[in-house]
Amino acid sequence: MGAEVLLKLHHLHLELPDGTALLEDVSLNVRRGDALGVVGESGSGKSLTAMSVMGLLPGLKASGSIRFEGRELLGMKDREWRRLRGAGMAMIFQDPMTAFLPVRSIGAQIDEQIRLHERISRREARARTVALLGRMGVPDSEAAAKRYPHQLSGGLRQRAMIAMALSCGPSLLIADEPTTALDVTVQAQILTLLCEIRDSGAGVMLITHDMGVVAQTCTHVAVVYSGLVVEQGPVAAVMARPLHPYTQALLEAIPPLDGPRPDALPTIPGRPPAPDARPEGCVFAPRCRYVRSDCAVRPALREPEEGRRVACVLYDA
Amino acid sequence: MTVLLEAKNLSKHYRLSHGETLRAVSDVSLVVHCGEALALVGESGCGKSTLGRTLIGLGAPSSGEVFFEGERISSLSDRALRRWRPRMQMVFQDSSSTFNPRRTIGDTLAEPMRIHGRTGIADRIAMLLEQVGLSSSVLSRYPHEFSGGQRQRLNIARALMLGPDLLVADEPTSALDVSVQAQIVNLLRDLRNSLGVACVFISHDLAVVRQMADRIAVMYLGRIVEEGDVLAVLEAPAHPYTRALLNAVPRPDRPLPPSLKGDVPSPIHPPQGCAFHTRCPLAQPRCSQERPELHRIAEGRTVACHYPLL
Amino acid sequence: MIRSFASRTGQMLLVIFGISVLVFCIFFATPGADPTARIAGRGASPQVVARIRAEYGFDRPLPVQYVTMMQKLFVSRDLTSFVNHGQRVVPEVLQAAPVTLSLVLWAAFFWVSGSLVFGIASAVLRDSWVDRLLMVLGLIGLSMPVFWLGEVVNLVTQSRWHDMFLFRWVPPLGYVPFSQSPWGWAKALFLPSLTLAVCFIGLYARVLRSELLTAMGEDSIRTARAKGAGPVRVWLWHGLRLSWLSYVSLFGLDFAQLLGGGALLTEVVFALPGVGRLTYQALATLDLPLIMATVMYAAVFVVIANALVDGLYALLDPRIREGRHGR
Ligand SMILES: Nc1ncnc2c1ncn2[C@@H]1O[C@H](COP(=O)(O)OP(=O)(O)OP(=O)(O)O)[C@@H](O)[C@H]1O
Ligand SMILES: Nc1ncnc2c1ncn2[C@@H]1O[C@H](COP(=O)(O)OP(=O)(O)OP(=O)(O)O)[C@@H](O)[C@H]1O
Ligand code: SF4
Ligand code: SF4
Ligand SMILES: [Mg+2]
Ligand SMILES: [Mg+2]
Repeated sequence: MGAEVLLKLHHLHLELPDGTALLEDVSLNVRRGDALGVVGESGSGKSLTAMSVMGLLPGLKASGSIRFEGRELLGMKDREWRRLRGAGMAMIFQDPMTAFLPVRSIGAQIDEQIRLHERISRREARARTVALLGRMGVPDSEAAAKRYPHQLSGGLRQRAMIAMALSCGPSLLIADEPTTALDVTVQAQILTLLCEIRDSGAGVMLITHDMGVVAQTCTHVAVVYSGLVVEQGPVAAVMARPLHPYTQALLEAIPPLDGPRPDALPTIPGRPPAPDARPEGCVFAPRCRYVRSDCAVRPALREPEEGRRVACVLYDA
Repeated sequence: MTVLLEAKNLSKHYRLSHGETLRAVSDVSLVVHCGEALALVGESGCGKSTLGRTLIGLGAPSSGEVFFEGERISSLSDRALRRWRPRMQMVFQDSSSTFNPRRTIGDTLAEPMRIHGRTGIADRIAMLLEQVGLSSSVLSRYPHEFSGGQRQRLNIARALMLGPDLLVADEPTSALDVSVQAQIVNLLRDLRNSLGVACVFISHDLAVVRQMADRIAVMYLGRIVEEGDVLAVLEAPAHPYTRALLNAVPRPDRPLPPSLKGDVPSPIHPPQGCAFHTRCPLAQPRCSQERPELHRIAEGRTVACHYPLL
Repeated sequence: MIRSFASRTGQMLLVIFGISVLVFCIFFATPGADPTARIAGRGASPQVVARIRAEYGFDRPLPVQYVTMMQKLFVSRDLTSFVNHGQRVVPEVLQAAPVTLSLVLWAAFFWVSGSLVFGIASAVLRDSWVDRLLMVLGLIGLSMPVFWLGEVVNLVTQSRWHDMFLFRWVPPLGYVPFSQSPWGWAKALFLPSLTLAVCFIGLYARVLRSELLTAMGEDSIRTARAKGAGPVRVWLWHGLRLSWLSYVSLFGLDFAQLLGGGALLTEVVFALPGVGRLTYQALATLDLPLIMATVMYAAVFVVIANALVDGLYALLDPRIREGRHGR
């Protein structure tokens, strides 16, 4: 556990002005050289977590703590946060088509980010942009920089997006479902790229609902359910032996690609609670097959094994 | 097994505004047997949806023929097709657009039967809701009151209202979470077993396809490049593209194999020879000149490659 | 590029031709009415009527009449108003055009800058009292009839309080050509153009506000903020970039229709000898050749302005430049 903790969310709680809690309790760590996969069903709060780290959620009330490189971000002035955004931490989004401004060339948009954070000339910025695009595997990067988003294929657009995110050498890269809009073969290319970025020493937070993607690219995983982190640990361990009943159910629901074909896939009955109707106790209790009486009190994260944490009463010593 | 639907040399071209032609589907021949599930897989834009629609007469083919129970339906007028419509139904990926937000579920479900002048609507609805695992209390509610998974169930119920023999499901689970996806996959399997509906299942998720289908047809740039029993094909793919697709699926048990280079070429100017040769790791000089035809390599297995892996 | 330009020009010519035929038919080919008498005006002598009939070829088939008419309008430009004692119509319109152009340019300047300020301010401060106040002001401006507002402005600045220091500079009603005195030109047009702009400011601010707010929900704006761009940059650079398409098309249409005579009431109230006033006079005296000339002039302007807006569109949005809307 040598590497330094880059990002530490501690009991992050996020609520709407009317008091509805969107995120109840999100705690997770990203270290340098780590890739943390954040998985969970649609609406569980994955994107909200990422956006709160970036400070892109004005109007929502956040409490708890977000520490980035040792600095507390919550309560920081927007000016300072702005200086971090794009430079210290950068984000890539699900749909690279809509994430770029459609009316400007992608080169111009990458230049803009560089020049927002560094005082360099247009020409130097462009040179760096072209080099970055080249490094991301965009063929003929000089010409590609002059093209508009709609003139590039989905894969190239997402590469350009990643180039833009990396343009100021951020130490944390947050990727919100970066491959959901892409084809499988192109997804594989982008995932390889993300692995390389991770290996070069940056911290990566990869948001996805695809367990396979996490298994392939990440070193650690955090499972989010209804605004709470319910399990966290090293990918290999969690995949091999998931602790939380929700994680177990999630993994079982994936149809296998080899071996015998099951007659029916195991499913999770019911559906996740709405943010304003979470149960008092364990949020997963209404759907859990192991539910028992002491689940009526919200279980805190506990650490039954070195490096693994789970919010479930089954793992009380 | 009796043949339910047969397509012969089916092509569908779109004329684009600047005079170019987009070959969405080229020269596809396939059969669907009664009660069988055939999966169409391939990357975005390879023509899966177009083929699915053309098969059931939504849009006339540019050339080629489609036979349903031996009768040619591909050249029929809309009026003449009306007789066949109840026998072939379609389920779309985006269930929210299938339902009119201002009409109750009951209304929407009853509509196909009303149009075709059927009776016993209420009984049929009650039976199908039971089949898809919903209670009849949903009838007076509106689409937005349902989750994505429930809406997809309703969508399937709607497609089954007229008792079709063939269901074309276009990415029915792509918009859903894994846990909900599992429910829908199970549901579709159960329905096939209990009602004997044949199914053309369009998807890009190989794991889901393996769970759902009996046979698989892999498409690349509008053509079928490999076809066969789903377990056999996924166990040992014969076409380099099928293998690449399989390799690209992220899995816990192995590191990422080197991925295919580049993107799918444009269907407006498909490459000469084998359409896959621009990305194929096994391409030889012959591949860029001569187009490989689909040929049999084993019982029930066909592949379009000069140098198949089997 | 050249091909699309040529086809564009062809389209424009076709549209103008269509309009000219339509206008011609309405005025001259209405069954049961003798155009000769109408051109001649009320109480014209039989000699005049006979001369007109020969000159315009009203005794010949319709297509010939049409060609004669167009020839008089565009080629020899000697279409003559008989109501107005033999005045040549085309030079009259051409003389009035710069007045209207000046007025509309000034007004456009005011309403664009005004609506930019108001629209952006109320979008940024959405749902605050500033936003509400601006929108109410806009609504008031929108609903004030321009001739009434013009009369009030005249009343205040020309007579009531003309001697107050605030309005002492206001020149008497009328127009001063730019070539004669640029300063006088500006002074003469200031109040009329402001009056004309008032109702547009409200409308345009409203459009801009809603477009901006829609744009702010776009993914690309989120990206801009994630890049570390500050609020000013996000709103003005990224937000406006996304939202000015409908603004521009609205502007093109309004600008064209004002140039084509839509500023009629303003011109009449402020006694500016522009195209609008000419149309007004022509209508009042039923001066058929003059009406014909102003209508054709308006049509040409609207068509040209439309083409310019399309060009601007393509300049602003590369997707339109290529004739498709993304993938
Ligand atoms: N600005 C907001 N105001 C109110 N509710 C919000 C807001 N943003 C998100 N939510 C709600 O918060 C919940 C979590 O949203 P979030 O976008 O984080 O989900 P997600 O896990 O990223 O899901 P997906 O996989 O669909 O992207 C959802 O129920 C969503 O409706
Ligand atoms: N109505 C249309 N007009 C013109 N081109 C079309 C039309 N419909 C589809 N296409 C084109 O035909 C090709 C095949 O489209 P199709 O929707 O069948 O692909 P698909 O395999 O279903 O892809 P996806 O996985 O993205 O749904 C694409 O290149 C698409 O852009
Ligand atoms: S705490 Fe109880 S209800 Fe919650 S997951 Fe654990 S066993 Fe299930
Ligand atoms: S024919 Fe050649 S290029 Fe095409 S798939 Fe086979 S080996 Fe590859
Ligand atoms: Mg999300
Ligand atoms: Mg499709």
